[in-house]
Amino acid sequence: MKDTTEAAQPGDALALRARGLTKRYGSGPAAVTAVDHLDLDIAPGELTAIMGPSGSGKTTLVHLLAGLDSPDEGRVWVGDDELTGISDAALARVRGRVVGFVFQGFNLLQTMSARDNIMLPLRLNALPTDKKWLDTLVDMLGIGSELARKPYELSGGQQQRVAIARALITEPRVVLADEPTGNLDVHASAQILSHLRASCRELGQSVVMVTHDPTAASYASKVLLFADGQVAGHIDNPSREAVLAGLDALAKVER
Amino acid sequence: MIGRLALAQLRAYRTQSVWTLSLMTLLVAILTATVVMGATQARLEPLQARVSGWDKEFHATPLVGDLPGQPDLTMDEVVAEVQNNPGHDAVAVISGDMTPIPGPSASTPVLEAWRVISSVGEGATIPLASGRAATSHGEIVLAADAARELDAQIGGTVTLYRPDWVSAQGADSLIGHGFEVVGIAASTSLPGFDIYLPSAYISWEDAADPAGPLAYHWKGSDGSTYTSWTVDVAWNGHIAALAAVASPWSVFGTGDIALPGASIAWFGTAAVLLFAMIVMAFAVGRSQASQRAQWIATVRAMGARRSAIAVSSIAETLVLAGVAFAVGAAGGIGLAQAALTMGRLAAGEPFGPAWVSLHGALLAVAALAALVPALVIATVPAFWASRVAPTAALKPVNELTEAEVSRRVPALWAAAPLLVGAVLVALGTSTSVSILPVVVLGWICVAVGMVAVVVEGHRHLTRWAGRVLSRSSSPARMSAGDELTARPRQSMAPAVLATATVTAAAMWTLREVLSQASWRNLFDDHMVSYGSDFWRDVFTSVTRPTALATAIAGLIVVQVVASAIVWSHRVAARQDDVARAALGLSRRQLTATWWWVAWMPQLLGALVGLVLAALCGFTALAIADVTPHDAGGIAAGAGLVAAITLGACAAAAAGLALGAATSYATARLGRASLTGP
Repeated sequence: MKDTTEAAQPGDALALRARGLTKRYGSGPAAVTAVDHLDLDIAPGELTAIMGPSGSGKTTLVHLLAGLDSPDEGRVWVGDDELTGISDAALARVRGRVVGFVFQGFNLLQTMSARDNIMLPLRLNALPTDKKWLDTLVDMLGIGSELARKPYELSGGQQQRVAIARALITEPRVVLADEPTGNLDVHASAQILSHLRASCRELGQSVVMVTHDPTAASYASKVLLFADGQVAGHIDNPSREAVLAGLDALAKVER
Repeated sequence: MIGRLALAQLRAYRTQSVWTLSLMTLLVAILTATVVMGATQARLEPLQARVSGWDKEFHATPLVGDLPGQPDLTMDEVVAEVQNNPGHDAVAVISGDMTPIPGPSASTPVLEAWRVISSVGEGATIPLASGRAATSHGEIVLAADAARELDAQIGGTVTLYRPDWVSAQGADSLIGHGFEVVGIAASTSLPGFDIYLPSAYISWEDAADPAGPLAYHWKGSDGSTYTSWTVDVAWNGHIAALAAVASPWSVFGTGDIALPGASIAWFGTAAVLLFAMIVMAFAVGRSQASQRAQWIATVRAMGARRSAIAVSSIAETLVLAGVAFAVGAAGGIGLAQAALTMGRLAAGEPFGPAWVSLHGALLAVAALAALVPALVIATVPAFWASRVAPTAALKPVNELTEAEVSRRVPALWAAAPLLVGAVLVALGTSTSVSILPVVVLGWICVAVGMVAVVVEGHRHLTRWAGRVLSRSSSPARMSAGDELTARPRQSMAPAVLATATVTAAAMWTLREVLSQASWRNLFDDHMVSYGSDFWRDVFTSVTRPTALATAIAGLIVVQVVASAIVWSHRVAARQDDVARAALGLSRRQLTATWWWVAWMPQLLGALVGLVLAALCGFTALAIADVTPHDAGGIAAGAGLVAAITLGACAAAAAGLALGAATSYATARLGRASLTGP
């Protein structure tokens, strides 16, 4: 069992930091600034939701924060590791050991069992298997009886729980989730969001989640409202109604 | 981990893996069969040479007889030298042509020449199947097929005829010689292998008889009659008297592998298959990578490096290559054995061993046949796969279409190697001493340039055809036009294959027609002559059935690979199909759409192939200095042109007909398995 008392607490060194982050697509008159001189701090142990209208730059921001894409300007740190200006190999190492991903479409490898999918990041990055940590994750996510099954034998909620276990197996500093409940029904969504929140509270994990769903955002400890490539506002300890109100206000400002 | 990734990919993309594995196995099997047949041919050749005494270190063809002047040796001297030098494996062989006319078909006045031989000495072996050798006057051993043709059996009698050269100075007057059949020997040929054994073996007593069937009689200017024989003497070591008339013996020297003419069909098929697989690798590589984009991107997002993705893609194909090697090599040996067994069954009394020979080079050829195309096929998708961005695992920000990312090569870049090659060839051949490396490099550049020009030309052509189709009022043709324009790489590949096969088939027809004309001219002065080193030096023992088999096999291979390319195109465009179905295209219209996508490039390719064949063919004719030298020349020349044109058109038409059928099958199959509700 992982000793969660050692997990980073809010107030410790930041889990994720961005300064002056800028990303543009295209050139000339057709140029679009997806992320515009953004400053961002994500504390350890926090579940942060990023919300905003389509085309506001949320997905691009996640790409940049994860080192999946490189910014035109600005810098990104995951813990003490700076992601900007490093080689592809170094970025791959960061992605493998420091950052975890949860995808909207689960992205499990269909030919591998649930266990093998969970262990994949360890094998890809030549990391040792921590059996206790694996058991902790499996117990917390309630997938102990599903480990031998192939993804196509699991329900959507079960697949996403396997994907969360996969994201957490390397004990990353931060987990980035892009619409993690986008393909799930209400019940399965609630389960997944509870698991993500539990991973922050019980395991000290930092999670950054992009979502369109105010209910999903209400599970977060903080909601960042995103518009035109910038953080237009934030809501601490949000309720569903507060999130909806925030989105309404954002829409009025945009109009 | 790379191994696990490779295996996971193999399992996940089973259909593609099976296609690739099948093609590679076929290639290995064909090449292995060719090498095994070559090794078997090499084993048969010394045995065949032994029959006529051609397997010796030294050889002489002395002038034997009583001709005016000074003959090299008399017949008695020949026999004495052969028999009095034991341990030298010496042999003297008299050979000549006889004919079974009136034979089994008296109404057909064809002069069928049978090679009849007789030997003395210890260095020759008659491949007796039953009975005994001919040792006395009037005895004969017939090859099994010759005996069958004459309906002769041991103990029976046959009459063979020999031209009376003295009286007729031609073949009009025949003298019959009666023989008693005392033995049956192996058949003169073994289908599938280059075996040319004598049709009959007679006693030395008859052969060396000045009045016998193998003696030539000449009338001198003084009215006297002279006698001569065609005698080959062969031996090992040093025999002084024979060494004086000897020549180095190299014509029939055999190597480890001697490819029989029939194996050209195998080689031709393998070459077409290899070319087609390379074209397929380039055509399918990108769509393969884009299909796997999310898979690869997910793994990359979890820390896999570009190199790991590329290596796992290559490893995946190498696993296929390993399986293809094992299965293909075994299959190839089986194919060759089947060919030998069928040849032996057809021959009746077959010559040589019943089992094929395996050669040390076999494993190397089979391994290379699996490895080289595997690496080519693997490297292209691996390159594209390694370039998949990890962002593709998340929601796609900008989905690029094939048309956007398919790189266009500027016309100058495509033509540059052609120009450089032409300059190098000109430079290399302009001096009095040809600079071979420069010339070779020049031709390589020309070949590369031609491929580049053909590929680029077809890319433009298929896009143009796509634009034309997309303006059609038919929904199916309109959709097909969109597909051809959207994925030019996949669309262009079947066109390139069609062009290459039609051009090759047309050029082959041209070569065959010229070769026939040239050979007929040797024997019949009424035929037109095409004097050309360019064509004449390409003589092979390839028969028309072999050429036809090659052409059919090539067409089938091209269709199989073109179907694979279209299939991959369709898999890549699955979402487009779903959208078309949602917009109201019926299943029949979807089938028609993909029929057009599959067939239109082949039609274009075939037309380009005909034009290229005409250009290449008539350029070659011009270079070859065609010299019709008699009154029938012009007419025969027109017939030649007609034959070439017909051959090319037939090849194109056969390809297009086959293409139409396979296109329909691919479209139907694809509709059943790919289009969603």
